[in-house]
Amino acid sequence: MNLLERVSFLVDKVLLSPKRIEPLITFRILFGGLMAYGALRFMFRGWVEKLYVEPRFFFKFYGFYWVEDLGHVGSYVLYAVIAVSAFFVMLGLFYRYAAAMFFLSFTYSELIDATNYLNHYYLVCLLAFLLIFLPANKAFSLDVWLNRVKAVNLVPAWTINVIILQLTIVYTCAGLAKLNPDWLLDGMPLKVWLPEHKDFPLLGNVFSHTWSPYIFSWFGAFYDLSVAYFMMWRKSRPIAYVAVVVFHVLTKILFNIGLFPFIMIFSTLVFFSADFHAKLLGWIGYKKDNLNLEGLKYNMRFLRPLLIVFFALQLALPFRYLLYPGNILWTEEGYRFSWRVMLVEKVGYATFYVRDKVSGRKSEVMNRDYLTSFQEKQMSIQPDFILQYACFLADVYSEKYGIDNPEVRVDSFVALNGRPSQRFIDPNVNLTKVSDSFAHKSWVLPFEDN
Amino acid sequence: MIRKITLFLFLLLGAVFFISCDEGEKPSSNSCIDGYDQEALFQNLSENVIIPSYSHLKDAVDQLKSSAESFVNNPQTSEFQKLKSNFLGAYSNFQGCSMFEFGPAKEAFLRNSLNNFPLNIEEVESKIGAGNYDFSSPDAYDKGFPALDYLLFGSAATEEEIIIRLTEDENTRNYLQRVVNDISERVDYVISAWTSGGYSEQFVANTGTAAGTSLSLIINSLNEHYELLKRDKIGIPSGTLTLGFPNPTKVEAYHSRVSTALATKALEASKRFFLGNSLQGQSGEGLDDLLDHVGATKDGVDLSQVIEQQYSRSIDALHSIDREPLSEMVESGDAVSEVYATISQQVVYLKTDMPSVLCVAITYVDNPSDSD
Repeated sequence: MNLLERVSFLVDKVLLSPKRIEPLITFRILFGGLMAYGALRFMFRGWVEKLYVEPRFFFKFYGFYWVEDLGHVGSYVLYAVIAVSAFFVMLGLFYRYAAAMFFLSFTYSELIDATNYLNHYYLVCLLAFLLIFLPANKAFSLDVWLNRVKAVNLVPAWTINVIILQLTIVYTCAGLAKLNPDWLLDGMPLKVWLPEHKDFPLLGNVFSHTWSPYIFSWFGAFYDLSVAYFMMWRKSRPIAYVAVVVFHVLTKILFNIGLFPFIMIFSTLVFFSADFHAKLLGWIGYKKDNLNLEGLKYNMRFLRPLLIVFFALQLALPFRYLLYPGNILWTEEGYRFSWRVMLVEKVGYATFYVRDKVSGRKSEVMNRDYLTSFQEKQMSIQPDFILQYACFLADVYSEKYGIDNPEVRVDSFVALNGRPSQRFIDPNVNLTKVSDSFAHKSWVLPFEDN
Repeated sequence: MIRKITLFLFLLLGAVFFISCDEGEKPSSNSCIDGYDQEALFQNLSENVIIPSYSHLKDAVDQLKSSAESFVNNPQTSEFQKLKSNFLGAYSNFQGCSMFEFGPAKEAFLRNSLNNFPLNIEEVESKIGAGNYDFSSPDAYDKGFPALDYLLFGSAATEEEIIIRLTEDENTRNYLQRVVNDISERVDYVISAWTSGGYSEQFVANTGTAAGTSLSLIINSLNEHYELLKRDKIGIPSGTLTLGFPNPTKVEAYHSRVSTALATKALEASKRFFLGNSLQGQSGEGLDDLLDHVGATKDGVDLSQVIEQQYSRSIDALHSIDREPLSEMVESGDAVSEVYATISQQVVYLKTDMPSVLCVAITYVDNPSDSD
């Protein structure tokens, strides 16, 4: 075999070789079930009110300013749609529509207020998007039972490997992001977070020991960097999965991290063999069928470019920060959508001033009049939020007090990872004259480490 | 082989040594609390700052209560003078306690119930008219010292007329007494919780840096108090929040005209709490010592010094306009706005620098969402 043949053989093997469908089935059931539970949990905890009804102003992602909040009833309807569609995904009922509906409704809910951005919600959006195109309902589903689709038990390898690839990107990028001096040399921000749990039964002493933040930091970085690859190798897989469970249970204990640990513990099962999954599913009544090659027929004309673009973006986004000057932990330029998880502890304080050019009159703003305390905290450490809020204030003051084109400036300070604070935004810049873009924000003052 | 291993171990040791040195050389960043006796800090704050301040307040409130009773029984001008002076004393002593708004004080809504201002006079008059003496809502502006300020100094045109009103109108008199009783009950509740109710022991033992620990409580309450002081006592009246248009009627103690004095008391008390100093000025373990323990500096100066000096500057600034009434001061020029600017500078030190270098996470206990 020459090199070209080898490569094409390998590509065929990774993308097109027939694989048994069971890992996808497990993934569909666990993911759908967990998401349905998550949406219900959100509603029953009153978070819909707290996050979508209480605020009078919502922060947006760049390019998604058009997303409207839906009000009290609308937000509940949205969450009901999320719950029901996730449940349908789990059952494999009207699967493709349900998966698309879940992706759209969940993503919309995340776009309403960027304050609530979390990496694991973003991961849910991505996995939900992939699920639309995967044949996860083609066995052991209500669609099969109702004869809506024909049962198959072989699928092309890529349908499983895309999930593996997505998870591998998440872990690897999260690991690479940890390779920074604060994390490795100063044990930050774990030095802030671990001792908070000093009273935890048995493990409390471990958490509060002087060296613990360093050990946890290094272990965490090693885990993130390597676990996906250990999961790929059959021999190391069992022990790697034990590490997955231990690691995520530990993060569950330590941090207010919601469903994220379960998402990872469930999703990483996809690395396991079909036999393993067949046994797992056997507990809930799954029986293996005879081999049926029909599942391998797939129209790739549309899917191939879609997946190529999708993963090209996935590989590029985490590294876009390299195009910006300055410390990413400080400027947060290129921070989101990059699997930068738990890297910073920031304390911020931002005082806004609105000025009427004509009369020269100036007013300080009480942030609490317009933002929830959670929004204020998030706003004070993220430049694009500061900008959006400044423009909102300009609108408020021109409407309420009849000031034409008021100037808005901010006195803002941020303390990063246990350091004293530094001035964050140029106090002389009239923020209403600045517009957000992907360009470097020169009005964010550079970080000085001393 | 053995040589290789030795070399490897040597390099490893070197690396560890390098890392530890690197850490030791920059105490200004990432210091965090390690090996500090938090209980000694809390013990001092509890024994020498908090409890004495509360008993100072209780003494004054007891006097206020008894003089209110004497006045009601014997509505003479001399009794009225005594009542007024006891009111001023109690109001002043309350300034020394208003930043301990956690634990028992939080349960009793002490600060809101005793000092929600500016008073809603319409509400008070309508409640007096209706004989309604319900003070259970902490969000209402109808009770506490601001209500007494109005009843004793502003509820009629002259002092004589006030005395006449209090003598002849039963509802007004009842309102006065009920307000005094409400203050007294809440103060009694708080001080007995601290002294005999075991809260003090709980406070001292509650070490750590998590939300809800004593350290987090005192840093958060110190900050909250400071921001309220800045906003309500100076900011709103001087018009910094309303495009420079002053709001003279919104000063604290509008009718008794002691706003500047009360603001000064509050600022001094905040400083005392930070330094861990007793009412008599005796130095004790305070947040400044904790900051020194972790070696926190800001632009090359000890952070404890920075904060202490900023307190002194703010107090000096207030002294420089030490003229009553503040309600008239705010209408005459920018002096008060300048004081406001001086006082404001401290917020960034207290609110970002201090929690950051002490690694006390400012996590909201009722965080509405997950984090990652």
